[in-house]
Parts: sequence; C-alpha cells; structure tokens
Amino acid sequence: MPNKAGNLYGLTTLCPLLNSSVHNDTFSPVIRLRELLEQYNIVADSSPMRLVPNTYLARFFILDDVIFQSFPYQEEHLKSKYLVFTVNFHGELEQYLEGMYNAIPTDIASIWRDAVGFNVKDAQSFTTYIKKCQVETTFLFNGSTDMSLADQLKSLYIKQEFSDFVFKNQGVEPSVLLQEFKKFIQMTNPTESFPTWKAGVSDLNDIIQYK
Amino acid sequence: MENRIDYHDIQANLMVNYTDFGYLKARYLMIAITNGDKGRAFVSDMQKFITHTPNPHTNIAVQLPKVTTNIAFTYNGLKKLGLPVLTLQSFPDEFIIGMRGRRTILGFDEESAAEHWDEVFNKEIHILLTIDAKTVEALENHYQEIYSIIQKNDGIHLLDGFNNGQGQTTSYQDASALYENGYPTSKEHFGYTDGISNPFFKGMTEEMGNVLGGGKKIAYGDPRSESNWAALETGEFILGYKDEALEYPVAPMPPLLSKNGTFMTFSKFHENVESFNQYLDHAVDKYKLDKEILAAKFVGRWRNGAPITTFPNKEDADKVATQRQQALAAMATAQTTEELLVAKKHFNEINKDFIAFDYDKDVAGGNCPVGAHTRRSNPRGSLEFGNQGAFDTPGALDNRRRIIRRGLPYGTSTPPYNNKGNHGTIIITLTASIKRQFEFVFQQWINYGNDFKLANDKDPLVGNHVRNNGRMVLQGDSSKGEPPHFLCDIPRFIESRGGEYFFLPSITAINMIAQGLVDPT
Amino acid sequence: MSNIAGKAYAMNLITPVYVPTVWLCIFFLPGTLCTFTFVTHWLSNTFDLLPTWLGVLALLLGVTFIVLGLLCWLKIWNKSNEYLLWSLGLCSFVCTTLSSHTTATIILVFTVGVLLIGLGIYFLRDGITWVNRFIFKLAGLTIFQKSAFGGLLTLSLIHYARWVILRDKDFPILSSTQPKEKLKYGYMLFFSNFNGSWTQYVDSFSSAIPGGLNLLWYKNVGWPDAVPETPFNNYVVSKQIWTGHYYNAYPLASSNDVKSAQKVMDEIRGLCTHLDDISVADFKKAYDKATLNLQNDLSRMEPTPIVSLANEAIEKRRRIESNIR
Repeated sequence: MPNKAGNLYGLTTLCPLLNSSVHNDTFSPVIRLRELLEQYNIVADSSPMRLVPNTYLARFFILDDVIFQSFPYQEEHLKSKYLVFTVNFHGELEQYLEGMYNAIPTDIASIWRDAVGFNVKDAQSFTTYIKKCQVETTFLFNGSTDMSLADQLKSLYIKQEFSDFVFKNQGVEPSVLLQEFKKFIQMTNPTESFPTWKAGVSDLNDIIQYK
Repeated sequence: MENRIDYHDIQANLMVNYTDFGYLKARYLMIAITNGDKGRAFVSDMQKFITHTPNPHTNIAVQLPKVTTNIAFTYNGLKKLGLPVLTLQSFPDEFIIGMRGRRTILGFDEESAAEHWDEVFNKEIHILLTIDAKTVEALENHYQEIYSIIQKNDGIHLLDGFNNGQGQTTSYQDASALYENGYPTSKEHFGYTDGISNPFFKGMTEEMGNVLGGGKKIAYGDPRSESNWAALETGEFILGYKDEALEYPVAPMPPLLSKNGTFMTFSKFHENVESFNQYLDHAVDKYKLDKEILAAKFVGRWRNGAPITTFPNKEDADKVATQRQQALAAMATAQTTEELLVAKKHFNEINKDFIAFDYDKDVAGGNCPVGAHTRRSNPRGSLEFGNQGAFDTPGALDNRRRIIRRGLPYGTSTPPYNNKGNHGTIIITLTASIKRQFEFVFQQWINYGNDFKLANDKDPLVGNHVRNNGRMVLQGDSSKGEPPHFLCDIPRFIESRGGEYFFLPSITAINMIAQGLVDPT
Repeated sequence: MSNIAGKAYAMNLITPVYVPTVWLCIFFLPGTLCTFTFVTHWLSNTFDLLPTWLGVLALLLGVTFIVLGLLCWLKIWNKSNEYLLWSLGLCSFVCTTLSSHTTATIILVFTVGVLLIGLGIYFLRDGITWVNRFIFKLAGLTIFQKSAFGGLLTLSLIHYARWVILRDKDFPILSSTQPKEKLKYGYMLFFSNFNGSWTQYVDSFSSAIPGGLNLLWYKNVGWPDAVPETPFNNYVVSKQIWTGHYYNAYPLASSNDVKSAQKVMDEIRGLCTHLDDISVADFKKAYDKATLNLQNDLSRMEPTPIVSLANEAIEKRRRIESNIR
C-alpha cells in the first residue's frame, strides 16, 4: 500500500470545513483556523505535535481552492474548503491516531472544531473521523531512515555527544581515552532510552531529556 | 563554435584578470552623488578612461593601457543618477538591498558585524572606481587626474572612511601584490598562493583562462584531459547570454542596459595572521601534526599552491611548485616572442598540475579534506559523491555557483605577526547573480556544511567561527588504516571590514546612464 | 504561515493533471460512428462493401487524429493525450482497408476498436491520472528505483516526500449536506520536506534531476519542463500553498544528519560491548577503526543558518515573544 514505505506511514487527510455562507454563521472557520495555526508559530517549539508519539514531520494548511493555470486551461473551483493535515510517522495508523488523541485531545478539538462531521469524543471516534478524511498517497518517498522516532532522537543525541567526545579527546593517551570513553558510555547510555533528545526542540541548551 | 561576444562593449576587468598581466597595484575609490545631473556629468567625464576588453584575437597585453579604469554603480547610485523606477525595480532584490542589508546572509556577525566595518561601508556609496596599474607612479598619476575631475565637480564627492591602519582614514583603498625579497608574489598574508583558479566560460580565449579546471566537469576520467571539461556558459558571468540553465539570466530592463554587464561584489577582508600562526603552532603541539601539512589541509592547497589532493606529499608539492615558479620566471625573462611562446607552452604544461584536478579519487577526503576551503568554494563536481550518473552532469550542483574572483591584498603583515593593524585581501567577485553565486557560496558552503554532509561545520579558514568554536575533520585514509584527526577551537581568521554590491555596466550602458537615456518602455 | 521548521522546508504543490475535456468527446463521436458502421455492415452481411464516402471519411479522420496527436506530443496543443489520439487515428486507418478482408479479421478489428473506445471512456471518467499512477507504480519497483530516485537520494536534501493524485470523487465527503466536488482536471498534490529553502535550492533540483521531475509531473497542466529554470521556478511558486503550521521533530538535524546518526549509533553500540575486559591497545585499535568509519558523520549540529532576511526577522520576533511570555 502506497501509504506506507517500510515502517514509514504517510498520512494525508483533507478535512472539509464548514462553509460559513452555507451555515449562515457570522464568522469564517478558515480565518479562525488560520489564526489558531499561527498561534503555534508564535512561540518557538510550542507545536502540539511534539507531544504526539512517533511524529517525524507534520503540517497543517488550508486548501481553500484549486489553482487556476490561466488560459487556455479551464477555470474550476472547489465547493468546500479543506484543512489539509499530513504526517510522516513511524508505525501503524490506528495506533498513531490513538496516541495522537490521547496526547492532545484539547488541541484536536480546537483545530477540528469547524470541520464537517467532526463528532469526536474519544480516540476511537477520532480514528474513525480521520480515516474518513484520509486520501490514499500515490507515492511515498523515504529519504531518511526507517527507525522509530525515539531511535532517531537517541541516535542524534549520541551523534552530537560522540562528536563532542571525539573532538575533545583527539590525541589523548590510549589509556585515558578508554577511561574517558567508559565515562562517556555511562553518561550517554547508548542502549537505553535516556538520555536522549527532546522532540521538536530547536534550542541546543534545552534539548537533552534525561528521563 | 561561432563566438558572438562583443568584447569591446565589456569592461575589461570582467574578461581579463589584470594581475595576470602584471597589474599588481590597485586603488579603489567610492563616490557619493549629491546632484544627479552633475553625477551624470561625472560619469560622462569618466567614459574616456574606462578600459574595455581588448580584441582577444591579437595579443591582449599590448592592447591594455598602462593604467586601467573601471566603473560600477550601487542601486542607490543608479537611483541618484535618475534611472526610471521601472528599471530600478527590475534589479534583483539582493542588489537593491546591498551588502550592508544582506550582511547576516553572508554570516558577517560578531567581529565581522557592521560596527567593525570601515566607516565608508556604513555610508551610502553610489559609484565605485577601480584603478589598476603596473607601477605606483602610474597609479598615482592617474589617480591625480581623476581626483582633479572629482574636485571640480560639486555634485559628487569622494567618500572618506577607509581605515589605513594608523588610526586614520583615507578616501581610497589601496591594494598591492605582496613582495618577497623585492619580487612580487601571488600570495596573501597567510602565505598561500592565491587566485590560481578562475572560471573559464564561452568567449574566453587561452590568454584569459583555462578550460582545464576552470571550465565545468562534464565526465569522469582523467582531469588532465580536455575532453572531460567544457567551458561554462557565458550567461553565468555576463548578462545577456545563455546561462547554465539554458536561458538568459534574469536581468534589469531594458536589455541594452544589462547586456555585456554583470554584478560585482566588493569586500574588504581582514586577516588575523597572528591567530592563524598561533593556531597552527598550537595544533602542531596538540595534535602532533606537521605545520605545513595542516596549513595545506585547511585550504586544500599547499601554501605554494599545489593541490593536496594530487600532491599529498610535501616533497612532491615543493618540487612541482618550484618547477612552476621557474616556468613563470622563464616567461618573465623571455626576450623574443618565440621564446615567450615556448616558455608559455612549458608553463601551461606544468600549470596543469595546479589547475587540472578533481576529487574523484579522493571522495572520502583522505588527501584533501571534504571541508577544506578550496574544495568547498569550488567542489569541481565532487557533490555527486562518486555516485556517477546520479545527476544529469557531475557538476550539476556547482556549475551555477561559480564565481570570477579579482582583487589584491592590502596592507602589510610582517613578523612579529599581529591581528591588529590593517592587512587583508580585497575580494572582488563577478557573477550574473549575486544571490545564486556569491551569497549562496558564503551562506551554504563557507558558513555551513550540509551540502558536504558536514552538518554545521564551516570553512576552517574563511568561516565565521564564533568564540573559537570552529571545527574541522581531517579525514583519514581507510586504505592505509590512517585514522582521522579532529581539530577544534578554531578561531575566526578572517573578518569582514565591509563591502558593497555593484552593477558593472557595459560600455553602451555607461553611455546610456551618462546621457540619462535609460528607457525601459 | 510557516514553511520553515528548523532545517526543514515544507513544500506543498497542487498541480492540475490533464483530464480529457468535452473536446475529446467530440473526437470520440467519429470513432463510434466508424465502429457503428462496421456493426451495421456486419449485420447486413455487406462488410466487404464499405461505401467509398465512409472510407474517405475514415481516412480523413485518421489523418486528423494523427496530426492532433503530434501537436499534443509537441506540446503545441494541450487539450488531449497523444496516445489516445494516435490509437483512434490508427483505428480509423484500419477502417479504410476493411473492404478486402475476411470476416475473422473484421471481427478482430471491431473488437480492438471497441476496446480502444472503452478504454477512452475509462480515461474520460478517470482522467488520465492513471498514467501518472502507473508512472509512480513503475518508479516504485525495485528495478526502477535507482534510475527514478537515485539522483534524489544523492542530492540527499529530502527527509520525506509524497505525491497524492486526486480526482473529484476522491475528496472526502463527511456529511450528506456537504456538496460533492465536481472537477474536470485531476489534481496532484506534492508534499516535500527538504533542507534549505526553495529559493536556495531550486537550481540544484532543476540542474541535477530534471528528467526525474519531468517524469513525475508528466502531463501536469502547464508544466514547463524542469529546464530552463526560470519558467520552472515560476510554475512551482505559482502552484505552491504556504503551510499554516509546520512541525519538525528534529529542527537541528538535516536529512544527512539523521542518516549519519544511525551510523554513529550502530558503531557506538558495537564499540561499547566488552568495555570492561578490553585491553587498552585493543580498545585504541577499535576506537580508531570506528572513528575512521565515522569520519564523515561526526560534525556538530547547530541551528540552521539564516534562511532569508524575512525568516530571520520572524525568528527574532519569535524569540522576543517567547521571552515575554
């Protein structure tokens, strides 16, 4: 199935939004949603998606119409506006969506508040809803590794720490090197989950998570 | 192939590297315009001095005047000179903003920040005049001639504010080749032989450059064979000609204003010679490395100019460098045209060792480190990482990032070496796009390393290391089991002292500007 | 609005994919007419007596279809698909030679004609997005993967990318009151996560892998070819939708970094077994070997250099805002 490439899952959803003119409301769901998404951009590293397990990369945008490729091509329009939500994650869809709902139920409720047919009460109904909005990916390209996010973050942590180690210990006596390396292993615990890098953090001073 | 370049319409500094022809003294003048019409009158007065490219089919050297003069304009200068808004809008955004506004893109922070720049570069510059001469006297005489014209024109004035190193400022920047025992060298203050490679593009002749190493790499195989190189498209360096994307470069309107012109950057780079020597000594102590090898690994060339990728041994490098030096001397002392021809042929053969190379046999960097200065700024097709055929052409990622380099060192630096003082290099670049070529190289290749798979590692020599945080990997040789070396605590060796972006118009365009006849309608 | 999250850039493109228009229906009519003629002739047992005027008509149609197909192929005329037109043209040519053939041949020709028209109707319903789907299917096969994506892998700028081809019936319907989409074109959505920004790397994509780009955007409406770069860049930028919110789990890592980290991790895990009883000399040997293997994987990761002046200004404001909160 093209939604998957190895353990990588490419979820593509088009979530129809309520049409303010049809529903006779006084606000535009699109404007509200754009403003909400901007809120996540204002403060660095504050995306709710950082709390969702196994999320490599995710994005939200509003598809308010198709784009007209000028004459002689034909002009046409969408009848609804859609929230496009796509994620690259590791693992199975059901598990992922369940994890997502359990991690950020309030954010989900506010993001999808004005979506058509969004009647989500629990992880189960969220999964059902998202699957209804899912469109099949035609081709998924993986230019990265097939590791879980936790493994990727741990390996990035190890890479960074080992890099520091190697530069610092260039040319030291072999016996000192061994000693230092033992300390390094003790500190970094390459075979354990922690310490590791926090997901979604861009500040080097705040990136290590010890437990 | 038919050559359609109108040489006489192109300012000579674009096609000819003056230093190759013995012009080892230069003076740079920055001018501000207060009255547009008088500014145009000044441009008009300058027209007769402007040096155009000689006819390349006869001897270039005899056609060049004793002193050359070239002129370039900033965006604000063109605005002051009354170019129409439609034309001004058609210039690229980076040129409109200028170097000062774009300094963070170039990584000019901390010691390179604008407050450390020569005062002149924090002023609004309108015109740049560059004078190149063979002797100080010729330079001085010509300068006086131009100076008196400037003095007589009350609509323009020379900008003051170049630091001269003695706590004073001058109204011009001098530059000169460095001399050793009274003989001129092509070295800069760190002791490296500089300016060996320049791009070779369609329309250039043998006298102007070399397709070997100067062109684009089109095939794998012996880099000393001309069949593996081709001249770059003219449009990478001159507006109005086909470029490597197989189209005319984006250029200001009307076409007559831009054709045969190009964009120019002028930068003053200070060199921390003391830090550099200290770091080499420190690394010799700490890492047990040979000082000269280390210096060569930093740059990718030995200080004598021989590329380390083909000459990993110092003895071989010295030998070939001496031969090249002798061949150069033979050229200089040739008495007859015939002798000169023979000497030149001999030099070209030896010079192949210096220019005709690539990194195909050195993908991992065991000889020339992947992060070395010259390998970064001119990757010679190595960004395919040996995956032959992965891209349309081996140079797909670097053919559009090539830069013509001009300029000379300024100031002197003698032992005991000092970081303070006023010594460094004036770097002038010529490209069809400042953003795609000059800025990209600084932003992505000098001050960042991802394209070389080196994360945030910077160019060891030119990179904007902050608080001695520079690092460099000297790759080992897996075939010999030699482990790599990891160098850290590299300080910033080169600091910006300012600069500006210019438009270098054609002879036709200079006339249009002088007459006030630029019309994009 | 934020296309940038750390070292990754989010690219969203929506490009119309050609779907035969009402014009094509007009071209189907003659084809159907020809087939209909065979049927009636066959029924009346006079198939070897194809009237001359029908023969001439079939010949003219054949020539027309072939010329139109050629125009499509040369990208002069963009309203149809050359292969479809060439099939129809061929079909018409066959009609002109019917008079002297046996019943069996005619039945065969008839079957082929019906099949072709049936396929045409299938295109009409689904657009020719099936061609693009087929391209992706082929490109995804192991044997073609290197030729299709080898350049992209060497370029090594992309974390993940995906192509989603949609027809109007694929747009999700969540309620009975939600109007159904009705679109003449199919649409290809492209989502990419790559290092750098589009402005910085458009040249790299255009000059390194133009063939791959042309293949994957085959027959997208208005697609200009990946070279020259200016029209290609203009096309892409005009089809780009800016991302509202972009999340990246490792803003400090490029795709190269993530891949090299895996290498480092594997080496280190190997190196730390038997640490308690290893001799100093053996360890030094193993360590040197490991660092040699990892020599191009140990550069330090730091925040991305400034991507653009506009983005730098936003980042500055963001830092100030963060401090206020």
